[in-house]
Amino acid sequence: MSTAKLVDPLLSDEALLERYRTLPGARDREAWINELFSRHHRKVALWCLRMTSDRETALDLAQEVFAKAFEKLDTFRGDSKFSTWLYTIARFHCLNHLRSNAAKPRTEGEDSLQELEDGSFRTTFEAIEARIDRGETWKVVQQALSETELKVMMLHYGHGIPLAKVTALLQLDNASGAKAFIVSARRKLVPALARWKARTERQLRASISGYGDDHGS
Amino acid sequence: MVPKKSVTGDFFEPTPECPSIEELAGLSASIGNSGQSEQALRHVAACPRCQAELVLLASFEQAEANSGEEEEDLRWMLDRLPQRSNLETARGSTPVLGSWRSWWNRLGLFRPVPVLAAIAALVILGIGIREFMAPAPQLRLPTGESVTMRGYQIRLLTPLIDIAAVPDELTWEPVVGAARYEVVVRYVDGTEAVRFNSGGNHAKWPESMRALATPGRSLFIEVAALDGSGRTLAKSERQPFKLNGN
Repeated sequence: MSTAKLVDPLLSDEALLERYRTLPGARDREAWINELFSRHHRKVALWCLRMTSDRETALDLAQEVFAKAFEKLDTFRGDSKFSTWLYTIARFHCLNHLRSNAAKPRTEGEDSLQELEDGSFRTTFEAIEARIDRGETWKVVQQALSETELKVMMLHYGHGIPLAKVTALLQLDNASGAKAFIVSARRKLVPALARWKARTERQLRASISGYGDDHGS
Repeated sequence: MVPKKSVTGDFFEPTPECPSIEELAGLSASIGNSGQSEQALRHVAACPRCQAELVLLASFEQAEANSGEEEEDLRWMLDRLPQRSNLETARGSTPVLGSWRSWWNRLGLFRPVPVLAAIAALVILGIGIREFMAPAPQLRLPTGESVTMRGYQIRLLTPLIDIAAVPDELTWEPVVGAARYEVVVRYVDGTEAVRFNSGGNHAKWPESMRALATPGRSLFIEVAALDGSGRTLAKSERQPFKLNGN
């Protein structure tokens, strides 16, 4: 009789794992862990596919994620959902893979991103950032950009995920994908940050002026 | 001279206040005690790093293929993944993981985690944390008083955290020149839940909002002031909203 038939498909992930941990026989135990992992094949596979845009590489990555998960199974303490714990492994593994590939030549379309990191954009951004804390900068950015532009910026600049992968992760279906949102974000941010800078400087001058009036000689 | 670094790289580095991914997932699912949650929610609302993490987490949880081509690739993978991740199938020489590794070695694809890269990442993380622990720059007046520079923002006046019931209406500071105000309610991962308009600086909650606001569930509220042509004049921060509950 197949051990797989002993596994109750209605059990939660955490209950499956508990059963796996407490059963004595290796073959019986494996049926439970196989059931647990198979529930997450789709999520992990799709995540890896979107991170790599190549099914062969994605399959390798997905297998490595499950191998890591098996290796680290004892570290799961139930403080979060099993899927969240599995996600942390997939995230770390896939982002590492992207970073390890970052040194390779850029694919078509990525070169033009350099254009976004020069001239007034850099100067304005750094000038602003040097004067205020990150929370204040974030408010300006949040106000200036659309939801999608923000997400694209966060994933690309925050996590170093290439734009083609950001396009896949966010399921963007416009012609240029994430790149279009980075370009439009830049167009909005430059004037928004310049306006913000001018406004804070006006406030600053008013504060100083007010202080002078209050303490006039 | 402009330093050679990414324009926004440091901006998205984690801070000591950033919750772990497990904690973020808990906040997203409205798990956690109210005191800690409120503080964490306020941080998440204002932290680009945490917002990015939530986007990534949401993309993992929503595992639907985006196109026929993606579905085809996914099916191709799912046809093969069980054979390659099933412990029973993989079992040969014990331990099981050993057999996987030898399989990788045969293909010459097994690569250990690059230790140097991990150390470099830790150093960069440490530098980032140190930078962000620095206090916010302020103008120091000769009297000793400090003036923090702030942008123009709408301030919400209605209490929204750990309240017993959804308030009758939401009130915020008026904005000069505003023709209307737009209120957006979002889930913790930033996804829009409800959007409605008001002609003045207050609005009654729509019924859909009352249905959403269950005890213990965390949401975000933001208000934007728009002029007659629909241009945004000012916005509020994303304010956490949560009813008392489990």
